[in-house]
Parts: sequence; C-alpha cells; structure tokens
Amino acid sequence: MQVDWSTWRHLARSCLRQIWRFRLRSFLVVFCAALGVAGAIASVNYASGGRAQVLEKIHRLGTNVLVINAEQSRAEGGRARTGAIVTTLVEPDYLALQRELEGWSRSSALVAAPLRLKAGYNSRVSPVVGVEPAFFAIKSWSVTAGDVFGNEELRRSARVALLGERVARDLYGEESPVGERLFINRVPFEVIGVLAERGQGLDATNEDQQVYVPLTTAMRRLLDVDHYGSILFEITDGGRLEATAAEMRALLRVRHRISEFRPDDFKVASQQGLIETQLAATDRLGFLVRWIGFSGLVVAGLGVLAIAWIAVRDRTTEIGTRRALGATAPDVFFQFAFEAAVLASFGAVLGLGLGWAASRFTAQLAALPFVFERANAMIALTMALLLNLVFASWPALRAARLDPIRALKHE
Amino acid sequence: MIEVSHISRTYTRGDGTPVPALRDLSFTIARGEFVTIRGASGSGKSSLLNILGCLDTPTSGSYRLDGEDVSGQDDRARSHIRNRKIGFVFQSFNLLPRTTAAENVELPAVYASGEVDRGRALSILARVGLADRADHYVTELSGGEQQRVAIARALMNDPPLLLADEPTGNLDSTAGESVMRLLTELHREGRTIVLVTHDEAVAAYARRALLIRDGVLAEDRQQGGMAGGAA
Repeated sequence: MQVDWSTWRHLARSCLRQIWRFRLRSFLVVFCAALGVAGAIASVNYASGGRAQVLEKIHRLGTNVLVINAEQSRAEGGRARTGAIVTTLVEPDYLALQRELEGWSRSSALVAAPLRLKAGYNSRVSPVVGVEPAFFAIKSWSVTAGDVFGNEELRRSARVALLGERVARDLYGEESPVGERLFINRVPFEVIGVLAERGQGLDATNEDQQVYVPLTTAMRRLLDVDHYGSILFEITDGGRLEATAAEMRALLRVRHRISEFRPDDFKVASQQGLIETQLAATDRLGFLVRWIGFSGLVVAGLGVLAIAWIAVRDRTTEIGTRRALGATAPDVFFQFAFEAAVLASFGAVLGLGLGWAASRFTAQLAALPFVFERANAMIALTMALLLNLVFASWPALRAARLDPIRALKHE
Repeated sequence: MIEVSHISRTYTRGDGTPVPALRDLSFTIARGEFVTIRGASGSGKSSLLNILGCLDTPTSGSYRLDGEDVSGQDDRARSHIRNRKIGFVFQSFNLLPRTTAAENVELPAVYASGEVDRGRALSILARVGLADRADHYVTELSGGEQQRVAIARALMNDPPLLLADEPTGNLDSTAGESVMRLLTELHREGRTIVLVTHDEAVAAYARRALLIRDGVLAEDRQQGGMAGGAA
C-alpha cells in the first residue's frame, strides 16, 4: 500500500482537533475503553486479595505442620469409639519422636479442656489449652499486650495465662487485663498477655475464644493428667510431610505395641489437604474472575466498536465528500482507525489508573489485603489495546470501502 | 478538455437484470467552455456526472480528461485525478461539520501533498469574498456563504475543471445569483465549468447546453449565455 505520510500526518493533526470538537462521542469511547480495563484489573486484584488473605490464614495455621492427635480412629467392636479419652500419648512418646525424627524445627505438645474462668463478677466457660512456648512461633502468633510465656514458666509450672482476644474482651471489657487476676477452675492465675485477634481460622476453630497456659501448668495444676491431647511438629521440608507422617506412625505403633491388624490409637494429620482445598477454591474464583474481566474487556471493546460504527454512519456524507475531494480509500481508513485508536488507547491507559484506584477502594471495603497484580494489569492493557485496534479497524474499513457515490447521496 | 466517446453505463439490478443508464454517448467539451447539462430525473444525468467526476467508470466507451484516458483507472488513480483535475461543488455544499471555513478550503491540499498553504487558502477565500470569515465555523455562515466556501475549496488545487451539481438548488434567489455570478467570473478567468441543473434560469448562464434524455444526448445547443454576454 502506497502511503503519503505527510497527508497522514496532517490527517492525524486534524483528527485530534475533531476529537475535541466531537467531545461527547470522544468521551464515550474513552469512558468505554477505560471502564473495560479498570474492571478487568479491579476484579482480578479483588480475587488476588482474597487469595492473599487465604495464604495469610494458612500461614497462621502453620505451614508444614504435622499434628498427632490422641484419638481412636476407627470403630471397634461395632461401636464408634470417638469421644473416648485416649490416654496413651505420653511424654516418653514425645521424647522418642523428638529423638528419632529428622528434619523438624519446632514442636509443642498440647492438652486442652473446657474450664470455668472467673474474673471479678464475670464468668464463662472456655477451652483452656496448655502449650509450650514454641506453639506461638509455629502459629506465627503474637501478643498485642504483655508477653508470651517462656521456658522458665514452663519449668516452674507457673500460673500465668495468655488470653484470646475475645476472652479478654468478655472478661475485662476494654481495659487491659495484663497483670489482672484470673481464676481457672478456682486456681488463681496472672494474666500476662493478650493474643492478637485471629478471627475464624481455616480449620473452623476460633482461637480468639481460648486461653493459653504453660503445658506443665495445665497438666499438673488444672487437669491432673500425664498424657497429651496432641503434639505439633513443624517440618522444615514441606516435601517430606507425608514421609515424616509415615515415620511417626510407624514409631508410635511400635511404642504403643499395636499389632498388625489393630487400628491406630492416634491420628497423624497435616493441614495440606485443607490448604489445597482452600487454594483450589480461590484459584477457581480467580479463574472465574479472570474470565469476567476478559468479558468486560470484550464488552468494552464492543462499546468502542458500536460508537465508531455509529460515527461512520453519521459521517457518511463527510466520507463521500472527502473521497470526491481526492481522499483514497486508505486515507479514509487511516483517518477513522487513527481517531478510534487514539481515543481507545487513551481510555485504556486511563483505565489502568482507574483500576488501581478501584482495587484500593474494594480492598478497603471488603477488608482484604490490597493487591495490585502488575503482570495482570499489563495483560489487560495489552489485550484492551489489541481488541480496540481490531474494533476500531472494522468500522474504519467499512468507511474506506464505502462507495463514494452512495456516500455522497446519503442523507 | 473532456472527450467522451461512445460511453455506456449499465447497472445491474438485484435480480440480475441489466438496466442501461447511459447509451452510446459522445461529446467533447473544450477548455474554457461553460456548459450546462440538463435532464429530468432518471434521464441518466447523474450517471453522466459521476463518470465525468471520476467517481464511476463507464461500462464501455472511453473518457479522456485533460488529455488522459481515465476510463480504466483504479480507485487510487481516480482519487488522484479527482484531487488535482476536478473541483466539486455540491447542491448541499458538503462542508465538513464543526470545521472552519479555512480548514474546509485546505482539505484538497491535504490529500494532494499534505503540504497545506494557509496563505493560499486565505487568498482564495478573499477571492470569493469571504476574507473575514476564514476562522468561522461553517455552521456560522449563511447558505450563500457556505456555497462560496465550497467553491473556494474546489479551487484550492487549481483544477482545470469545475463540476457543479445543482449549486443553487439549496439557495434562495439572491444567494443563488451571487453564486452564479461567481461561477461566471471564474469562467471568464478561463476555467472550464460543467454545471448540472434542471433550473432554466441557471442554465441560461451557460453558452452551451446539453440535454440528456433516456440515457442519450438529445440536444447540444449553443446559446447566448449571460456569461458570454457579460464578457
């Protein structure tokens, strides 16, 4: 195609004037293109915010954690044995596991029971959990007031308690409970800290409702037991989770002298299944949202197409006149494609900024972490530009192919 | 200037039947002539105008414009011929909306080379008596003024042929007369003017009148012509 560049340069300049003179139409094209890009960016960022939140919850649950629960896992003698207290998970097992297992970084044994709490005139029943100090590190959980207990308190079986955020509020209201006295089953404790609010966890427990005391304190002073409810192990290599679980199982079966055909009296679980389900759900949502965003882009592109199409129809006489005055078909194509492309591109870039603002706003509104996926924004922008190029070219092609005689007669 | 020999133009209807609009038409127009073409609607007048204006090509026969055979040219070549050799004046002026008078006049130069000589556009506007209207939007001008802008635009690339299609059809008689006076002056300056009309009063300005009827040349008459008379 032979092209007269100076003609096109001049056409481009006059197009820019036309854009201003037909500002309503120009605004509509820009608005359409901007909305498409902004929508695509904001919706994907919203989904990514949701994913980030799930990842954050997974992190809190403790990644690469294996839990050994003392429980009868199978029905026995025709009777379900769930709920039966299993007393076989004891300290020698724990020490043996610590000694024999490889590739673990932190561990904590747990005992838990619902007990009556009393502070002043306020009273309620809450799960009281005895843990080792490593528990809070495994769960990446910190305090908002006071401090976490350490090994010294564990050794002394100190009567100190950490309160879940909700428990603290129920018993002490808005005042800081640090240093206050708390009775657990009539045993006096000192509140040494309040744990950060966690909300509903992925495993459906609400940790804000719980009270944490040193493991030894719970076992000797409150519950008078010498067996554990469960043991947590944090594994350094996430890929060895299954293998380590198998080793634990083998070790415990030997130690508990369980014969070949008898069921375990414990259960080793990882959070992996839960995490995978959650991530799969958010990934499905992300996929859906990406499609919605893409559809939005196409719809916006169709808007650009419709407006450009109407513009060509409205300007048929102008096209005929230009052709009579010597415009070639490529000249007409260039004029219309350039005008639509400039507007749509401007709109798309504007949409980038708009998408950023909308992402911030929705993140704030939905209390999700603000995520701006740059790669996604670039893809949305590129796709919008390509789509608009196609959608701007089509009406321009129609304009160029108009028969000059018919165009001149058009009213 | 214009040599039309044995041209025919046949359209094809939707069902495939051929409809002849022009049949074996021949005539010549010399440089500097002022000719009107008359004819009732459906006579083939518009078809002839489209061919003379290089907007359409004849089905058969040849058309030479300014010594060049243009009957077999492709769209691009015909666009260039329209741009350089023909100045169009339309019944409804066909000025670009939301554009100033000067920008309209410059338009043919944009398509000629892209080099736009604003000074030339202004001097042509002055020539048609609109020096003070150059920066006005066309909607701010009266009908007569708009048509004079259109004539100025037709003159921008200094074409040898002016082709006017009912140039006074949308004007009142005063404005129509002033437009015809302008065309007459341009004729006196040596331009070839072909004017299509069915208005007898307008046709009377020309020195030669062609009449088209049923796609053939029914009459080719020399007449006094106010243009000649005034000269």
